[in-house]
Amino acid sequence: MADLPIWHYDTLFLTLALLFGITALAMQNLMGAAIVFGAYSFLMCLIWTTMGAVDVAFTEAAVGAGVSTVFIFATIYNTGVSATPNSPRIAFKIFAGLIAFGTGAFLLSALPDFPDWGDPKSPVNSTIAPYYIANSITDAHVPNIVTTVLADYRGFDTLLETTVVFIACIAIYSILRIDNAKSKVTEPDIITSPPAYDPTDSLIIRQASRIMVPFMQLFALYVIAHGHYSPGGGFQGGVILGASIILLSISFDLKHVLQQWTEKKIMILTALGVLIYAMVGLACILMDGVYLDYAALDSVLPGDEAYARSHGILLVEIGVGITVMFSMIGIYINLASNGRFDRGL
Amino acid sequence: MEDIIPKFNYIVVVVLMMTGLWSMLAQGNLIKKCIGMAIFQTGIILFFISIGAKNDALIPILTEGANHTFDNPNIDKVTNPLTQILMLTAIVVGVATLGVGLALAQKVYQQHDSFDEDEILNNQTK
Amino acid sequence: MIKHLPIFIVLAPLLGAVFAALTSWYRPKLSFPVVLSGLFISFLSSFCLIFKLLNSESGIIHYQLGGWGDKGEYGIVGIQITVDYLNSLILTAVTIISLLTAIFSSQSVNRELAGQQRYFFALFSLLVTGLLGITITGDIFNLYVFMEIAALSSYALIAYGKGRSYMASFNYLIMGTMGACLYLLGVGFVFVKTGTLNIENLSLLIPQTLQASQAVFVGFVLIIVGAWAKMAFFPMHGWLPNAYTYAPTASGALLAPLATKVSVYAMIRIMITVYSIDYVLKSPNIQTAALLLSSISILVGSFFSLTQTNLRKIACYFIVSEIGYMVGGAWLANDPGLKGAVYHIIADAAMTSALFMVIGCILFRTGQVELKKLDGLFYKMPITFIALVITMAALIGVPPTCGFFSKFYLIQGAAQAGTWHFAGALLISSLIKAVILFRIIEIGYNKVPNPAKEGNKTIPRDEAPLSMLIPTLIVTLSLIALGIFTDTLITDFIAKALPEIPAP
Repeated sequence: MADLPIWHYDTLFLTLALLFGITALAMQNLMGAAIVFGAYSFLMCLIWTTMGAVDVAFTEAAVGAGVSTVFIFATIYNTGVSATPNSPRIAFKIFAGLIAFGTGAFLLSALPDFPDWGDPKSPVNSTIAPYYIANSITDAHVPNIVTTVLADYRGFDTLLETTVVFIACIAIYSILRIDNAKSKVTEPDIITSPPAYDPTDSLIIRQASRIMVPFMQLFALYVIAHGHYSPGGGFQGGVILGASIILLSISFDLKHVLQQWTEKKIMILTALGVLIYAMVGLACILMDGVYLDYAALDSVLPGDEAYARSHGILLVEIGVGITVMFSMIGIYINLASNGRFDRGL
Repeated sequence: MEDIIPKFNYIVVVVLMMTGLWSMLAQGNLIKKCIGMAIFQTGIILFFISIGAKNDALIPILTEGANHTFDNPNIDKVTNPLTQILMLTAIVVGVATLGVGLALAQKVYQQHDSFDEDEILNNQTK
Repeated sequence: MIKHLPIFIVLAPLLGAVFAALTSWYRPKLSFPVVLSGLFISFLSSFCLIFKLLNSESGIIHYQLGGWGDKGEYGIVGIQITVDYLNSLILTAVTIISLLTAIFSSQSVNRELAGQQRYFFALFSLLVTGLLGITITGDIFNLYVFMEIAALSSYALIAYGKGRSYMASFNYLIMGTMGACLYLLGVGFVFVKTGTLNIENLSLLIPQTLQASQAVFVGFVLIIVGAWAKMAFFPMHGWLPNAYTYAPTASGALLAPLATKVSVYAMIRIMITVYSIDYVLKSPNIQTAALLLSSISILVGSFFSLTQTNLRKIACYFIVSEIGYMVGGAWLANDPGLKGAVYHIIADAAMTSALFMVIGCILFRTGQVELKKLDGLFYKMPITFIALVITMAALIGVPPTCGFFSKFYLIQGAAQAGTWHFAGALLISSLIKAVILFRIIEIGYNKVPNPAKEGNKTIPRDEAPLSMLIPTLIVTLSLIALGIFTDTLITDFIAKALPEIPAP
């Protein structure tokens, strides 16, 4: 029994995840499909935790099980809730089934060639990764190796990832935004207006969210700042911050949230995070280093070169957190109010 | 039995991905296509994470020893961080694409009053 | 500052987009100049890099991001961007065409998108960032992220068209994401066996030790199929005609020449550098299948263009057939085939750009692009009409335009490899394009009585505005210039970019 797989629950979780995935796709009611999809995301998060990928699981819990499900809800709440197909589309399904089956068989044909499960000496685990594991402390003084690789060794990828989030926000804004005052509104209004805000209505939800939101935001700031030492970082913290505002807009009126966080503020702050990240890199060039080489900032940041990298990582994580927070809020408001920014979920 | 369980893992991953792919191509409902896309992407992420896993390994966060120093880590006992980074990026790209897809679907609904692809095609050619 | 030029190529449009997004809330008129200056800096950087490349002995310029370079036994630890002979010309072509398209589109954006063009130029610049990034990167995972940057921007740019563009953009999204996911899966299979993502390291590992590995082969096929979905190669071409036709003029003029060609470059880079020509030649089944699909793609594109009456749809089907040229040329895997494919990337970018700009001018002045309603176009817009004729001549392959030389190399490659169906498809498509050209000439020139003669109705000349006309003319004249300078391009750049190809 020496080579028994280490994760006893892994098989159970995987089978459940597969079942949930198939159920989410087969359900006729779209609301139900969205909820089952949220459960599927959460199961994936558990599977990845058992495999040791805690940062990824954290992100999936925040992004997949949290925000994605809310986005799907915001889209379908006022629109088509039932998904009964008009025609069974048999020909399509058989043809697509053949393609999927063929591709699956092709993928499985490579299976005998794979290294053993969990083998510490496989090519993936013995080429570049040992350098990261061995040098994360000496190079950047950061115990969370994932954070070092994310923001320092492969920092360029993270800049582009932040740009992707930024693009999603402005793309959804461009697609959906209708300015009621300026345009001749020829598009039909699909948002059914919710009842007027009655303070005695759903008192529990409102009071509970009032209490929860400050703690959520404090925890999110901790996640961003403590990303060097525990699972966390800019993305996870930014998503939690965004989720706190989304919680406010779901439990209260969207209008009230928009009075505090106006459209202009949200869209400008989205761009600001990407700007911070890119400017940190440019500062490195001005200080005679290469782009995103935080060691070049050694003269302006306290500590030696390793600490300069640690502070540089913190700066870019802050930039990432800002962009992600406001992008999530912006995407949610656009989807929930169908671009009109007046009333929604 | 011992060599079916690791292969079982890969087989489930492939089945998951192909379910997502099938749904993207065959389903008529736009939202179901988006959900299928998300399932395909999470399947790929699961594939990457599982190739970076190690037996009896701990998470890639080093713990402090005495006097705030860090010992040299035993590389075989620390999970591979590289695959995790790649998948952080993939998750974020996935949710961005999902958001744009949902926005487009909502706009299509606004025009045609339906999420069903066949109905929309009929509507367009009228 | 000179050694930082490679990163400036990608950084300038990115920062231009972010600044444009910020200024659009305070002074909206400022976003266009900001984006233009970003694109201009990028163009200057890529141009200077060509000279630096010609002067260097190794023919490769590396830039290690974050300062992480080769760490001995571990290989390259960070992300590296590379400029070599293969991508330097493509970088310059992308920057020039995007600069000219930006100047071209200022007028049409004001007219077509009045009131909602807040983020248009920011998305424009972000698309260019993504395309430049795909071309310059030296890391296969970084290529995926850049691919998604370009893809998301293009979904939004197409959706600006209103009406049918939303469904078209959604179909593009599904197909494009499928392609990107397959590409990512392919990267995963390669990663399992090699453990590195750097193109330079992979080029040393794969040809030597992993020739027989099934996982690496599966990864190869998945990456190629993913790239095919992104470039609208048969049978995954269904999204392209709808997406580019219903997009606004400016988006179509930027997307059509560049987006698919950069995916072709990515495919060629993976085939040549990561896997080596030897590997490609040793997988004969895939090669035969790819060549067959290329010929079908060329024929499908050409025949469908005959059935269309909308000039834009015709242009879109031309793109489908041109992609067939490039993929077929690359998969011939011999010297003239590869030269033809790489040369055609640049030539086709210029030809498609000219075509879409001409159509944009016609749309701007006459309000529609139905072929049947363009009577007397020659008298109304003579310069534009002549530009259209020159562009069509380049597509057909009339010397001395660039189209002739790319077809010459491709047919030579097909003859050398004995793939006669590919050569036949090339000739048939030229024939069909000639038919369409004659149809255009007849409608534009012959359908109305000549106004110069006595007694005939005079038709007033009404060209498109200068800001649209001058970029069109520059790109059209470049078609002839590219043709004249073919020899320099081939011997000084493209031949040096291709590795030693084993004799058949």
